[in-house]
Amino acid sequence: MYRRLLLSLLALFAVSSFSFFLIHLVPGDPVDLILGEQASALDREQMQKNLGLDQSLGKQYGKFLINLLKGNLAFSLHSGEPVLKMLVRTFPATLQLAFFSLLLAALWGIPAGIFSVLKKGWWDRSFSFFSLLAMSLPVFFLAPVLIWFFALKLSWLPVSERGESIKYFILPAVSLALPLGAVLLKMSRAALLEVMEKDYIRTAKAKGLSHFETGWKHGLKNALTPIVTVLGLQSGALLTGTVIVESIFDWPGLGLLLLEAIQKRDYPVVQGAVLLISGIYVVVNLLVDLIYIWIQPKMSF
Amino acid sequence: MEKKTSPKQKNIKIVIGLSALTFIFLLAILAPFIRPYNPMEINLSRLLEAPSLKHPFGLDENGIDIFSQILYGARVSLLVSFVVVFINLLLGLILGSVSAWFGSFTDQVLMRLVDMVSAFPRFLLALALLAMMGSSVFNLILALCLSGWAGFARLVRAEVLHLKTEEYVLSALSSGASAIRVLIRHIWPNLLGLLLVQAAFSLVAVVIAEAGLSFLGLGVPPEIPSWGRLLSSGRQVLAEAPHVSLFPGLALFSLVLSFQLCGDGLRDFFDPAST
Repeated sequence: MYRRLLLSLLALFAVSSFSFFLIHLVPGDPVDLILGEQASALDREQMQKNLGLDQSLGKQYGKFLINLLKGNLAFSLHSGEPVLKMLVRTFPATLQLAFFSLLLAALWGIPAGIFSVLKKGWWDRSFSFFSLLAMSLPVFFLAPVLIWFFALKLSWLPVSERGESIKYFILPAVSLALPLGAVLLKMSRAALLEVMEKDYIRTAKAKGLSHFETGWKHGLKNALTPIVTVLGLQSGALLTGTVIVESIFDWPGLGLLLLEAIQKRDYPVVQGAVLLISGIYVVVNLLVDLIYIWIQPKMSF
Repeated sequence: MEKKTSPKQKNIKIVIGLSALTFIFLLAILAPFIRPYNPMEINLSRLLEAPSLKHPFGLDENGIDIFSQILYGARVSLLVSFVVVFINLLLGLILGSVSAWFGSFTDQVLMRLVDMVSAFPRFLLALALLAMMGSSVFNLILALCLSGWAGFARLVRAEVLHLKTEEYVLSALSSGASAIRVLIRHIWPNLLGLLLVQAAFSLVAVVIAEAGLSFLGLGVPPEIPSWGRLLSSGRQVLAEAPHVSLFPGLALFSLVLSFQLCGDGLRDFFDPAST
């Protein structure tokens, strides 16, 4: 378990180093790119200072890491606002969307997967077929289709923006939850199927319980561990899915912040957003593994 | 166990998947011959025209024929996804084998590297790199290659570790065959099924990532027709011209679905137990 924690720390270090070096991947002089070639020498010098480009690479890197530990990020090149503040402002919107989508996906995917195994036959085949189709639907195709049908044709739901009412959540969350739920369906089906092959299930069946009863009473309990794991792992993937969905629905979260910063070449903001999203991803994966160890003490890393 | 599907039923997925894939391949290769219009030709008098007999998929916001653009878009999608998955597979095969074969320190270093790379969300990694390096097909391939190999390496390592102790491998080694020869002749052929299945599912992920990045304006540059870019311009005109989104979306959906079917079918074929 300590090894697992150490690994996460290492990953966090890698993530922050990556986000630091990102800015140095920009071809040419970032100062030229931001200010244009005609900028005055004074402006250039100031910008260089702001970006910290006047120091050696090693020094910049060290400073970046120290600042990071203190919780200081750079300032936006456009608004001059501290990047940290911008991240804190946009993060809740992303978190809400991700949480709501995950909930929705789990609510349809997991029961459908369990039901497939318990009922077998026709139900199983149709659910498998449906999940195959849903998994092949990229969110940037599914979302426009949903918008076109439910918002433009039927005018049932708002097109984009974000409001207090739950109505605003439905389309973005469903766009994320449909393919994600399909993955959960497939995984929970596989997990339960595997359990159903075990000896104790056969014993239960031999005692005269029906397939449905054995699965419900004995199988499900034992299939929960892998299902929880998959749920956690997918929530990491969900975070990147929100980037695209936020751009489609003008959802004012981290993803939109990142994309707008990319367009404006606001590099410190890009750096901050990448850092935060990857950081969350690392932490979520760590939590999943810890929960896994907690439910199944036999496992260790 | 109730999973007693007949072999015929199993292969149906591969058959459908491979035929669809072949069809898409042919369309992409023959694009210059079957395209009805030039995918660069702008027609400002007929912007966003709905599908008609002359333009089966309609025209986009620049008055360019969408059907022709979709044919060319298939080229980019197929090129990027196959090149990326091929490179990832090759890297994973070599690094995974080295890691398993030499063990000890090399193994430790390589596996920590794998862990580190897997700690990044793949799509975001590619997005961040492209945002900085600028968009081009080469950069797109580079960005997508950076993390995909880790999954292959982990898979190959586990399998090689297992095969290393097989008797036929030990006997080949004791009769004087070199490590490289044993790997190539006796071990890699046994990985074929596993790698093919993994490759098919990687193709699914990469083709979606490629289109997604192009959708965000970071992948394929705008002057090259791509499904992702078409979908992104379709998003702007969804109310007036839903066809601009619909057809490239369906094209992407069919490509993803055929990769998915190939993957499912291949897995049923090589590893029936896991279905």
